[in-house]
This record gives sequence, structure tokens and C-alpha cells, in this order.
Amino acid sequence: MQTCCAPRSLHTRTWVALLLACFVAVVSGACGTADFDPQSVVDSVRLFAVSADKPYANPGDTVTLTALSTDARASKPLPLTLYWIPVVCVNPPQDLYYACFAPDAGSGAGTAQLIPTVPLTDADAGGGDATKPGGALGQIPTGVDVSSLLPQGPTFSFRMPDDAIQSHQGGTQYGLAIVFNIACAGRVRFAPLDPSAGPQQVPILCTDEAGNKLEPRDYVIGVSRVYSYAGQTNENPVINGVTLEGAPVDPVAGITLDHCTAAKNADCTAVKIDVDVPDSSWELNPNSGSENLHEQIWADYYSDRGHLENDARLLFDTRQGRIDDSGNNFRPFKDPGDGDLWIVVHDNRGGVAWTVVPVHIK
Amino acid sequence: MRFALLASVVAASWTGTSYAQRGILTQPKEEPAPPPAPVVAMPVLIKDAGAVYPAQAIKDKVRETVVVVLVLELDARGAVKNATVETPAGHGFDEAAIEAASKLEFVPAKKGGVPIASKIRHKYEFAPPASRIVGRVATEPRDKPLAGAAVTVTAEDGTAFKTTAASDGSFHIDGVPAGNYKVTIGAQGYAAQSYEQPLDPGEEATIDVRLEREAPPPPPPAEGEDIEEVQVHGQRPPREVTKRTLEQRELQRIPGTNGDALRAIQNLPGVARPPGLAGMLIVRGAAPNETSTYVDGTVVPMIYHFGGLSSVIPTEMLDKIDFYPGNFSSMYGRVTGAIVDVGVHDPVVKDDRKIHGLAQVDLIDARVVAQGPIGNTGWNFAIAGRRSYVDLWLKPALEATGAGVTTAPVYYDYQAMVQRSWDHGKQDFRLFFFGSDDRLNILIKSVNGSDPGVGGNITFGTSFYRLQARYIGKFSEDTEFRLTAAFGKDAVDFSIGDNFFVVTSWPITGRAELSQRIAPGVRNNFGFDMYDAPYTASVRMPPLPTPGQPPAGPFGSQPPLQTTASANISSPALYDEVELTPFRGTRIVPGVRLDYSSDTRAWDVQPRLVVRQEISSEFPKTTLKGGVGRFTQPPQPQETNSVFGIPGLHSSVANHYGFGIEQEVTRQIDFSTEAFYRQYDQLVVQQVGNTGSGYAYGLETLVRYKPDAHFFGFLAYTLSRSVRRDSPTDPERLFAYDQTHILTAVGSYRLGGGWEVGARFRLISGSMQTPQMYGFYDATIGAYMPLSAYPQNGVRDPMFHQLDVRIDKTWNYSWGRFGMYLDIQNIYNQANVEGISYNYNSTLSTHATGLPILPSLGVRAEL
Repeated sequence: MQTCCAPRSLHTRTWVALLLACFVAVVSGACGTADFDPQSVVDSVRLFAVSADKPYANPGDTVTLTALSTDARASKPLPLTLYWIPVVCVNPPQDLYYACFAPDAGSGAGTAQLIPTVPLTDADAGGGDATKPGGALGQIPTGVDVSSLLPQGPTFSFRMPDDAIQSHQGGTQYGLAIVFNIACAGRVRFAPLDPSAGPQQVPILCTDEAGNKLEPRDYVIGVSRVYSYAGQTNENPVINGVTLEGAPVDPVAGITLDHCTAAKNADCTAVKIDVDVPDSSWELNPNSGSENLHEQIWADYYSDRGHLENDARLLFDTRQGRIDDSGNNFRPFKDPGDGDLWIVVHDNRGGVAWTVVPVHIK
Repeated sequence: MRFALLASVVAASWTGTSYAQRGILTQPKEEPAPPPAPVVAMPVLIKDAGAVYPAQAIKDKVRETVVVVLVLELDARGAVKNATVETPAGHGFDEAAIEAASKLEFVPAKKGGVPIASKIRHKYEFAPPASRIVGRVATEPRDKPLAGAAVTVTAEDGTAFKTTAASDGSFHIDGVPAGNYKVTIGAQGYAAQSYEQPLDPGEEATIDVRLEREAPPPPPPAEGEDIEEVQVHGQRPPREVTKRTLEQRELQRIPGTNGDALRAIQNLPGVARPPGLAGMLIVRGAAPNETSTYVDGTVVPMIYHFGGLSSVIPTEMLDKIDFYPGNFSSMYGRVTGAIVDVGVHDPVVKDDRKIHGLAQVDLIDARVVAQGPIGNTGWNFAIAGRRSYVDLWLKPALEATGAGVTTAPVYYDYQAMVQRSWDHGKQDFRLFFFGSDDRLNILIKSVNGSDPGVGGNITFGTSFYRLQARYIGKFSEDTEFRLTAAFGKDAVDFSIGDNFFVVTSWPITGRAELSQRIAPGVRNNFGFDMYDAPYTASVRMPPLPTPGQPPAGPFGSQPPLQTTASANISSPALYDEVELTPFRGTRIVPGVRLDYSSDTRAWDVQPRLVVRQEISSEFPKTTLKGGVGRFTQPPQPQETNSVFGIPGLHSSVANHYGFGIEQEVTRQIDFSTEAFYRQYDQLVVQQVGNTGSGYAYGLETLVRYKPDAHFFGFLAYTLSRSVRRDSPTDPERLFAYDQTHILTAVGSYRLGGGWEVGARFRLISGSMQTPQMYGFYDATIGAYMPLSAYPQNGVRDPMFHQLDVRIDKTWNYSWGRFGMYLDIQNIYNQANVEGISYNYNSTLSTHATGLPILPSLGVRAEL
């Protein structure tokens, strides 16, 4: 979300000053805020996370991605399917994920390396058309239903190229593989690029059967990053369990709460939810040099059965370590029903883990 | 005019032979018997009306005394039969002499008692007609007659003519020979003014002068007292007789500024409103880092504490603020935008030679100032300090949001000065130590789900200090030397999560300027300007974004770049500027500046020219002004750093063009307007190179009612447009700091009884925004990434308008003065748009609004 004082293209000193000014303004209530539903309220197609079994993969490793998604729409004309774009985009310029779709992508030095993972033999190759996504993506015809050509399901595997590790800005050596997927309650089509539009375009469409583009509540286009550093590894965080008011929660039985009877959500009785992540997940970040900083770890919360006080809570700080009061307040909806509480734990080096807790509102 | 009769000489008195041979003397025929030699009597002048000083000579500005020698042929009656010029002098002198000679009458020469014809020499001496200087001396800005003001007119040979102003402020000095003079006008308690005044023969020069208070003021004057002032000059040169000024009363009483003089700059024409609470100076559509701020010639890294809540130098220590929105002098450089040079006054010593002070407290901060003499040592001192207590209310507010607060936002600044003058004020030395510190340290436990990288431990600290030494030596009336040197420390310490930006530098700055009058109407200013800053930097941050390019992901989603560097920035410069005053009311200032940058390893040559021409020197005065110049700005370290930027960049370039007029409307009302155009080239685009370009143009207008006993106010309006392009193949886009209309109206009225009420109204175009839409989801980090509209800055926020009101009440006591003020910003609680707020996936948006009604109460005591 862009705040009222969001920085634009500024030089560092100005950027820092503006950020602080923005912070002061925001926390002191200087800027007006909108009463939007927070990210944690789930009432649409959502893609929560994609985890890699090897967040830092070695060149030549096979990496398996697993996605966590849901369909919380009240009405579901078409079912949700998770599609994967079968092209791995390696080392796009300046790590810009949208550069993978550039017309010249995959065509030489300084562009993204596009590696197909499955043959796109049924595609009507449109090579040479500058309005089409570049390289291997350019082989996919635009405007036609390609759903059947795309891998589907919660997992997707690819091989990190042997030459993935390359020099990036400032001489930093690493490899970056970007994989796109789309959680779509419809059919997938590719869209032509508009040459007069800016560099950031969306060439992937989620449409109904007739080819009409669906609303944002019906799809999410995901971007997943997997890095490769020579001699470095990273483990996904570990979730030992979830606690409710300090007590462990049975992962199968889940949480059972009375529905809220108060007029306002804020007046509903809150329960404290927390997630137990062991100290061993707080890994040292070897790239922090002499600072010897550790990872930053936080938990994203989502639910379709209640309101969470915060979208995300800090679990471990890079410098201060474990945060003592990392829990989140959960207030059930006014209507009874069954649903879920999704808790996704991230570290700032691409590590992801999650747990899904059933929620029963009486 | 004067003329003189030369002793006539009879031809015989030279050589009788030669005269005889040439028949100059007519002699009677010889008689057979030689009688005794006859007695020859010289002709005697009996009537001379005098010669008229020729108009041609006045036109030709002949200032020397000219002698014309005539040879007159007189008949036997004594009348001039013929006159010839022996040595022509030109400029009409010969004709004037002949014309005068034709009317001469003589008693004829006689020989033996008999009148005879004769031939004589006659000389006319033409001295230039005397000139006259008249004028009026009054106080600035109230135009009150300043009786007794001393007026001294000094010739080049040291001859002085003196007088004093009468009760109505008028004065006159008669009988001043033509020539070049230095006119000095001064009065007790007022700063003397001197300037060169060429006088042509017979000319009557009129000089109307307004003298300003010599010492900076004791804070807000009680009703009816004389007004002290801080000057804010719209442009150079301060050597002009008239200046655009804002009084300290204005600076302290402009509503919405809490009496902060530097924040009052933001009301001047050409200065845009910064977004939100950002403490930035945006001048003529330029980026904030294209404006440089100085304290008495020493560059400082910041002028405002964070959030723009307050400036780093208290108003009470300010002597003047020179604000150059463009076309600034060659003495300034290294930026392509504008210059703010804050002048700090010497310690104020009152007549009682006691130490005086003041204290002020409001809801934001508290400050104290003390100053006076150090015994009878001849040294004077000033000391001041300020500390905010935002932390007292912001810390609980932050903790209520769940944040852990180690150091709540706090800032302070400090100043200490010792100063001494000697040699009757011709030499002056001052040491000034000043600094500022801002910091906070918090732990954000509630991570922003849309940008998880902005969370965790956040520290922010900026600080700087300077020890500045200044020497001014006036070695003669023609020669002045100024030396300002300083060293200090700048520090930025910023960290967020595992990203950090820690930079410490120890800048050494110096400026030496020799000002030498080398001829009448010609003064040369030659200077050396040094900036040398060893620094250490330890930075770990995501790559800096390229302008016009949507980010690669949320903050912290990219592997950070890291660098540790220890290097030196060296930027010496030479400049030379010539002030030419060939005619009265004309000032032409050509100059050139040469800047070297260790980053570019190149010299930047920057020629500049400023011209001012008074169309009418009398009230109401009209002045045309214009300027053109080249200004360069070396790339910043992060732009040339091998990790974050691109080595080998060049300086960016801006060519400034400006033309305007200043017009006195009444004694109280001034009007000025200026059109400007700037052309930018070689702008640095991060990670790309010197590929950027752009332009800005506009019109600035100021109508000002200068303070009188009851009222002050001004109306400032700027119409402008600022455009940038990141490369020749990219489309032009409005720059992020473009604001089309900026209208500011300020007025304050003294009601009597110590009450004063004022208001400020602003009507300003909204800031530029780049709309964003539903796009992608970063499934690795768990945040949506919006699509950014292209090109950026495609929409503008709605018009900003706000009314601020200020009420002051002052009580006078035997021990000093006590005052209270209530400064209410946004009194009608307008929900001004400061940006666009989006929901988590950018499918919904609304306007984010700025400050609601915000009262601030302050008290102030002066001893």
C-alpha cells in the first residue's frame, strides 16, 4: 500500500529523510487512512505463498515449488486451478521480474534467460512479433486458451541452470530463477504486449470461457524467486505449532470459538494467536558481512472466519532476535461457520513455511 | 563659469623685430629728426561678459579644466577685430572662447599717448561646472525620515564633502567637482551604505537611501518600537541600494511556521510546498538535492530537523537569509538549482552592555538564547540551544501501536559564538560552533503485510557540527578580504531490518574572497572555494531504483548490495566576478566559475552574467533585471559508486535564463515579477548514466506591503512547469516536484494593546502521483506488487488549500518582555490530499489526507 508520503525517485539522503518524515506522519496520525479490508481478510481467490524446498539452490539442483492457495469466493462460477508458466526466467536485467516478458527477453546478453520446462509444441509460434512476450514465452500464442498446455497443481519443479550464478550489479555473484504461476478460477490466456505502454505489463490473463478477463477476486498471478549462491544454503523456517492464549492448538481439530455478538468488530472478544518458531530457524545471514546479522522472520496471518488485528507480526528481528510479544489478536466473525486460519512464516532470504488451522465459529 | 584674463603682452615685449616683420604693430611713419622713443601702453580690458561653458563639453563629459588661448586683434578703439585660437581644445571650447572674445572691450593700446591697433594674447580657462548631490535618508522599511544621518562624499584624491540630513531626511551638497565619488551614508544604529557615484559636470545627482538597522533585533518588537529585521533577498546583489526584504517580524509572525524564519522561506515565490511533513526545499521545480544550503558561506547537509518541524538554526540568531532561486553568483556552485545562505549575526551587545537572553517554549520544542559582551575584553559571545520533546507524546503513541521504542524521535541543535572587532571595525574575527542532531530508534513489531521489509528494528540518526572561523579585513576603501573556513562532521546512521546506511564524513570547507576596486565603476571579486570531505561509508541496501522504472519488488525483496568505502571527495573551485557600474543605475556582473570534482575528475567551466538596469532611479523606482548562466552539479557518491552506481559520470548541467522587473508602487508596496527558464542536460539517471534531460519554466510574482506600524503582508504567486526525461528515447514526464500554481497570501495586523493577528492562505496545485493497479503477487515474500501507470507522474492530487491563523499577545515589563502565541494550522480543517492510499492489492484506492487542524501554543520570555 502506498502511504500518503510514499517516496518517489529520490536520492538516498532525501529518500531516507522522506521515509522518516512519512513514518512520523503516519504514526502520529497526520495522514488520513482508508478503511479498507486488510490483507488478512480472505474472501476471494488467494495465493498465500510459494515455498521452495531449497530456497538457496545450488546450480544443477532440482527445485520443487509448492503453492498455498484458496478460493474463498462466495460464488464460484468456475473452479480454482493453479497453473504454472512452464518457463523459468533466469537472471533478468536488474532482477526485474517483468523484464522476463520483454519482447527481447532471452535473445542475448543483458536479457533474461528463458528456459522452457515443458515442450510448447501445440503453440502457434509467433516469433518475430514484438507485441508478444519474448523468447520462449514468445512461442505461446496470444489470445488463445493455453490452459491445457500449462502444468497444473500445487507443485512445480525445475532445474537450476548450471551457469545460473552470474555477476549482478556491484559485482555480486548469485543466480536468480523466477517462476510465474497463476491461481485462476477460469482459463489462462496470454495477452499481447502494448509497445507504447510502459515496461511493466501483465501478459498473463485469467478469463472466462469466452475469453473475457476476470476480476481480481478471481485470480492471482504469482511471482516466485529462488536464489543460488555459491556455497550458501538456506533452510525454510520451522513451525512447531500454533498456540491459542498460550495453549497448543491441535492442528486437526483447530480452533473453536463463539461468534461475535458485538455491533462493532473492534468490540468482539479477541483471542491471542501465536505461532511457535524455534530459535534454530533464526539463521545467520552470511551476506551481512561484519555486521553478523541474522534473518528477519515474520508471520503473515489470513483467515476467512475472523478479523486479525495485524496482517503480519514480527517473530525475529535481525539484530534483537526473538520478539517476546509476537502474537496476533483474532476476533471471530459475527456469523457462525467453518473456515481456516492460514499462518505463513517467511524469512527475508526466501524461506517460507506455513500451517493451516481449521477455525470453527459457533 | 570662471575665466581669467591673461596678462597681455605687447608684441615688442616679445621681440620687436619679429612683430615689425610680421606687421603686428602699426607704427607712425618715421620723422626726419629722431625724437625721443615714444611710450607704448598696453591695452586694458574694461568689459568681459565671460565665456559660457560649452554644452558639447558637458555632453562629452569633459571633467578636466581646459585652457583656450586666443590671439586677439584690437583696433585703435579697443574693439576686437579678430580672434583666432592658438591651440584648439575641441568639445566646443574654441567656439565658446571666440564667442566670448568678440564681446570684449579694451582701452586701446597707445603709443606716445596715441591709440593704436594691437595684437595680444588672451586666455580663457574653462573649469567644469560644479555638480550637486541631493537626496533623502529614511529608515528601511518604514521610510521614516532619518534626521542627522551623516552623508560623506569622498573624491578619489581623498577630498571629502560632508553634510547631515535635515529633519525631513533631505540633504544636499553643492559645489562638488565632476568626478568619481564614493558616497557613504550612515546613522547611529543603522548600517551605513556606500556606493560609487560618478558625477558629470553640472549634474545634480539624486540619492534616496533607506538605511537598515545595524544590529539584529531583539525579538518581536513591542508596538510602536522600531522594527528589527532579517533580510530575505530575492536575488543578488546586496550591494544594491534597494533590496527585497522580509522583516523578522514577518518571519516570526507568518502563521503556520511557528515563528521559524527558515520555514518562512517556503512562502516565497518559486518555492513549492513539500509533500506531507517532508522538510525539503523545492525551488523552481528542482529536486531538493539540487538546492544547497549554507550557514554564512559554509555548506551544511541539512537545514530542517526531521519532518520539517523546525530549522537547525534558531530565528533569533539569524541576521539575514540570502535566497537565490536561480542565476546565483559565481561564488556559489556545485548545484544546478538554488542557494540558501543563512547569515548568522554577531553577538548583540546592547547599550547597557549586559547579557541578555530569551527562552521560548511551545508544543514541539524549547530553546534559549543568551548573548552579550565578555567583560571588557572586547570580545562578545552568543550561545543558544534547542531540544524537541516530540518524544514525550510520540513515544506513548508509538508504543500504543505495538512498537517498541528505544529512542523516541528527538532532535536538538546548539550554537556558540565568540566575536571581536578591532581597528575601528575594519577588521573582524569570529568563531562559530554549531550543530544539529536528530535520532530515533524503534522496533516495529506489526509488520506491514504489503511491505514486510519495512519492519523490525529501525534506527535513524542524522547529525552534523561545524567549527567555523571567519575573518573580514577592510584594508582600504577599495580592498576587502573575507575568509571563512570550517571543519566538522556529518553523520547519517540509518538501518531498517538488515539494511543499513552509515556514512560519516569530515568536511573541510573554505572560502577566500578578495574584493578589489580596480577602477571607477569596476570592482573585481576573486575567490577560492574549497570543499574537501574524507568519508567512510558502510552501506547495505537494495539497489537504488532507476527513475521511471517500477521496482523489482517490495522493499527488501532483492538481495541487498553492500559496500564499505573510505575515500575523499575533493571539489576545489575558483571564481571571478566583476561588478561593472558604467552608468548610474546600471549594474553588469559578468562572472565565471571553475569547479573541479574528484568524482568526475574534470573541471566544469560556468560563465554567468547578471544585469540590472534602473529605468527610473527616483521614487517610484523601476528596475529591469536579467541573467543567464551555466550551472553544474557533480554526481553524488552513490551515483558513481561502483556497487550502487556507475563510475565515470559527468556533472549534470543546467542553463538558467531569467528576466524580470521590480517596481515600487507606493512607499509601502513593492511589485516584482520574474520569468525564468531552465534547461537541464546530462542529468544522472541511476544505473544508466548521464542520459537525463529536462526543463523548467515559470513566472514568479510578488506584491508586498512592507511592514508599517500596523500591518504587513504579501501576495506571492508562481506559475511553473517542470519536465524531465530519463533518456532521449523515453517520453517526457512531469517531474515529481512540478506544481503548476503556488499562491500564498500572508497578512498580519497589530490591533493594539500587544495583540497581533495574522493569517496565511495557500492555494497550491497538488503533487504528482503515479497511479497503480492490480498486478502481481510476490509469493516468496508474501506481498502484492502493483502495476505502475506509465509514464509516471501521470495524475495530480487535487488542489491544496489551507488557512493558518496566528494570534500573538505581548506584555512589557520592567525586566523585559513576555509573549504568548497561538499558531493554528489548517483552521477550517481542510482534508487536503497528500497522496493516494491503496488497499493491499491496489484494487481499491482513496485519497490520503494531510494534517488536520493543528494548534500550537507557545510562550516566550525576553530578558
